[in-house]
Amino acid sequence: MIRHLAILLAAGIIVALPFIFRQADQQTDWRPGDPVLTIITPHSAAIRYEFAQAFSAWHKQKYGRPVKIDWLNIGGTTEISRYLVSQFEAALRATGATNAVSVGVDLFFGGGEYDHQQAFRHGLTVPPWPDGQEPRNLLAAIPKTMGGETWRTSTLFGTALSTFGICYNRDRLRDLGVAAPPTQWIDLTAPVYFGQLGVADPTKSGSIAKAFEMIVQQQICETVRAAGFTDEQIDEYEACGHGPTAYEAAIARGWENGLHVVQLIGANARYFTDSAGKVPIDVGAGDAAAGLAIDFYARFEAEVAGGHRMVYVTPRGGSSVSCDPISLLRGAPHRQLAVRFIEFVLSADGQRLWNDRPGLSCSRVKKYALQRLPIRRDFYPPHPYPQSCSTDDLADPAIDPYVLAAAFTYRPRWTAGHFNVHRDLIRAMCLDAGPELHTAWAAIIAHGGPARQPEPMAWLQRLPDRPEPLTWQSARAITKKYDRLDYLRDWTECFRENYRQARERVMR
Amino acid sequence: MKRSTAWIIFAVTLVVLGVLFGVPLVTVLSGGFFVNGRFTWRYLAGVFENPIYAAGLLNSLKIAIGTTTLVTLMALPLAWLGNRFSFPGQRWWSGLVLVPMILPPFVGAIGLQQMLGRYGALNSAFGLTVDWLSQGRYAAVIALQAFGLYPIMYLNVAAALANVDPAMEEAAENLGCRGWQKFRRITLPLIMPGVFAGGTLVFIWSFTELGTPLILNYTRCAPVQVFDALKEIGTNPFPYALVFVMLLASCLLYLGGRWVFGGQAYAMQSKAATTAAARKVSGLRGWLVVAPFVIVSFVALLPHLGVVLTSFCVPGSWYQSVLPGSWTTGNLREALGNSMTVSSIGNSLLYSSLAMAVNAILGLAIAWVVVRSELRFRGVLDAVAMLPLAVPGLVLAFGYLAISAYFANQEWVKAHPVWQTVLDIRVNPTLFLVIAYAVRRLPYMVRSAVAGLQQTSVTLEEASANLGASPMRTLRRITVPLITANLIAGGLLAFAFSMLEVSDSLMLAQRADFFPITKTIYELFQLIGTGKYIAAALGVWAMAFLAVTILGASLMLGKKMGQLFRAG
Repeated sequence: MIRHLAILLAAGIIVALPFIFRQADQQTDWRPGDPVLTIITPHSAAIRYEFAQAFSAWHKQKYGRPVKIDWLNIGGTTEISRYLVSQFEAALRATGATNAVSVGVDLFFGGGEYDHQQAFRHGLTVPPWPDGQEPRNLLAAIPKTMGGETWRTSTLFGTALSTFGICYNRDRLRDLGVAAPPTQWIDLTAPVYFGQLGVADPTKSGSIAKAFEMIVQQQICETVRAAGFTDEQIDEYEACGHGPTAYEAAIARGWENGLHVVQLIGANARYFTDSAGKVPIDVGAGDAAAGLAIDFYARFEAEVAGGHRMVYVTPRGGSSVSCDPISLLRGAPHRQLAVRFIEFVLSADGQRLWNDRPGLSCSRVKKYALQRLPIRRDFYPPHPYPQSCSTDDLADPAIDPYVLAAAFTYRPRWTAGHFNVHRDLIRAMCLDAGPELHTAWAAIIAHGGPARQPEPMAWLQRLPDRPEPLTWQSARAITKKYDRLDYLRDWTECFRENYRQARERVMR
Repeated sequence: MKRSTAWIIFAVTLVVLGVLFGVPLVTVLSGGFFVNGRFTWRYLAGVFENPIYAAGLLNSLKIAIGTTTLVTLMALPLAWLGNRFSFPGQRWWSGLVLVPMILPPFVGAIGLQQMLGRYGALNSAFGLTVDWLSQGRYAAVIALQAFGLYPIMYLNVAAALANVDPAMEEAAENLGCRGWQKFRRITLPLIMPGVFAGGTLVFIWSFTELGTPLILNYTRCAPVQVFDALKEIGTNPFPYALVFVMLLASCLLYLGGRWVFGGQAYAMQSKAATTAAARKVSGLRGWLVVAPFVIVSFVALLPHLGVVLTSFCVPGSWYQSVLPGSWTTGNLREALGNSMTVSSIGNSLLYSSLAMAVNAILGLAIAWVVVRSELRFRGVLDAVAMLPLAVPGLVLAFGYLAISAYFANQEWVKAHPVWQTVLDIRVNPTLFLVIAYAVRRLPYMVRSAVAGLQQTSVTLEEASANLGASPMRTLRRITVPLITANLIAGGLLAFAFSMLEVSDSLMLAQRADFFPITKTIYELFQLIGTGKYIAAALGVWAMAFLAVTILGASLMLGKKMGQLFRAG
């Protein structure tokens, strides 16, 4: 009997706990009958909470009525993209006319520029304002492109910015005997990092794929410069779309060098993950010595770790600055309200939510520090945003995304057309042939390292010769000419064979 | 069973499975065979043309064999000890060995990392620098899966042992058959249905398990290859062809296993009418019996311990130390105080209970046809009922979304709020979540019920029928009471795993009002920086709730549950 009572008591306490600790919802004056806005987003609960509160208050002040935001969360951006496409196709089948289609959702908020561009190509998104009637004052503070990244088009509007960089754990580096912490991508190719890197997967995220493209761009730029071409010459040749033979050859060599950097980062990787938060968590815990991570995840984790254990750096001239956009969906049930939300998010009031620190009288956020970087130009020097309210020092050149973006000159001809090639190549080279790559690289390291094993290194870095020899010039043609399944299989098999050869030559 | 009755149940269950499982599955998998409206074998052929996929399937098979073997070696002795001996704290130890199956998602990996990480508790305790999570990945996958899955085998074997008629063993002893020989020649054949039930669940689960290989970064196995392909950006028909091959392989492996091992079932006339007196052991002998429970539970509960400690840890303070540097209840207050938490607890209980009820009816019906009928194609129904274990959660979730989208765009649905509430996931996902949970957890109930029926002599039901009882009355008064222990075992597994279901919960519950607890854990986990601590706190609540549910069920169901755990 006592046992029964004890169990019942325990069950009662466990069930009661959530009710005891339950916090009252933030006071809201929204009532049934007031407007509702439906937004699909991969953003976290913290971002949803702050934007819902602030927009409702803003809307009430400006238009007299509070608003409830009905957030739809169905996982990450990949899931959202598939969901929207399937809903769109189902609606299209039912209505038969694209213009009449609605997926029952007003806005797509967050994710990467790639995903919003794809949504636009599928016909899912539409411009919020008629041509020529855009709110110019609002949009003037947001550049259309920056450092090779698109921040604004007629349908997508960047709302916050992020960079892709390197985070490392000081204790792990000390244990490994690394004297100089990594500051550039190429630093991560050192054998000392074997099995020590956490890497975000470029095959599962358009933003990460773009970041890897920038690694290749940086290597091309350095190779071309090393070949004796000045920045002025590069500008001139790129303006007319071609250069002398030596210049084109340098680009091709630089492209291969870029792939080799990516390959060795892959060889050092513990894993490639689709979870943006995993890498900083692992680095913070010391399971990975360093990793390739998105800036705000890494900064947050560094702060939680106490500021001394973990560091984040953006490789100067090696990382572009990408945006988290918002897009209006076709057939939005509450179109006018949706457009107002876009206007709010892009306004100074909305932008402040990204970096205000909670608990201050000047702060616009109620509960959470979102610690993201606003996109508006006027939040950064020479028009600094009120520093006392922000969580980050937006005037710090190491954080200021406009300074970081300006340090990177993107040359579209070098890699823009290779976007899908890079994804497939990285998949074949580092993921599908990953076990063989690790085995070969481990053997090379164990036998003196790359400098003492030139022949095995040549095998390791050899690019596929099937279905055709792969070069910067031929890559795009191959992906157009052959079925993806076929060239992916051929590339994977070539890399596996090359890695086996590399290992065998080390062992001889 | 009358042939006509068998045919009706067979047809009804097959149609129900077809609608609830087949339609969403085919809706999605057809994407691997129909491209731009035209049928193609291209992608299916692609699976076999690329050797890394063959290697992936082979590695998955090796993992499944290794895991099932290790699970059997762990669970069989434990269940036998629990059945044959009465020892100090038996009730608690028997309950404790089940707890590993209630590891909450997302934070389980964090708990493991805190314990086995490079700067984790184990290395700190012994001054080591071993990279446990990266070395010997293949063996680590098997070990980690085995310590997570052995409760499934334990429950099924414990139920089977509880059903063994002691008279059979006594007869064997009277004829001079004792010890190991008695176990091998009498006990083991009698409990074979339970071993097979647990073994197949563990085998198919570990063959298709995604979480553990992902945690340990073991990439060349079929489930990770499917996951990678499904998560790839852009549209690609290939992963659906790969899922089809994995399903086919699971089906063939199951049927092969059933053909080799599944035929050895011996029914008992007087099943569990009496229970053999457990030998009372105390002192050193008692502790020798307890020791395996302690060792297995301790190792299996390391991730859970990690989750519990993480939930009470000041963010960032558990690093290079055995225990957290500083403690707080703030994570628990934040997690339990979150506006999503209370409603998600209610939602999870509702979805899981309804799913369990659907499972019980469907599972029993399928088991009855499989065991009691002579229909030639009953094996098909048996195999189909096992398939949900082999389907990636993401695939089924996409299927349900597509079906809901179809209905949501019909004018008759748009015109009536009631239909919208039932059929439009965006309005209310309850129906689809219950179906998804029920379908994905059906194999547990089917296997448990099949094992129970195989151990029960059909003559008892025939006697009931001879005395004029209708089939329903026979089912209610004879069959169900005789296999209650098995149904409870299956029900517990179905309920616990429904409460912890991830993929369907993430995709089908789209609005906070309908979030189940796993989605709330996911949402909290997404909070950058402190998310893992707050999510761990809610995970601890979920573990505590499920642990009390299991123990509460044990107490309230009294003798029947006592037979199962030998704790009465």
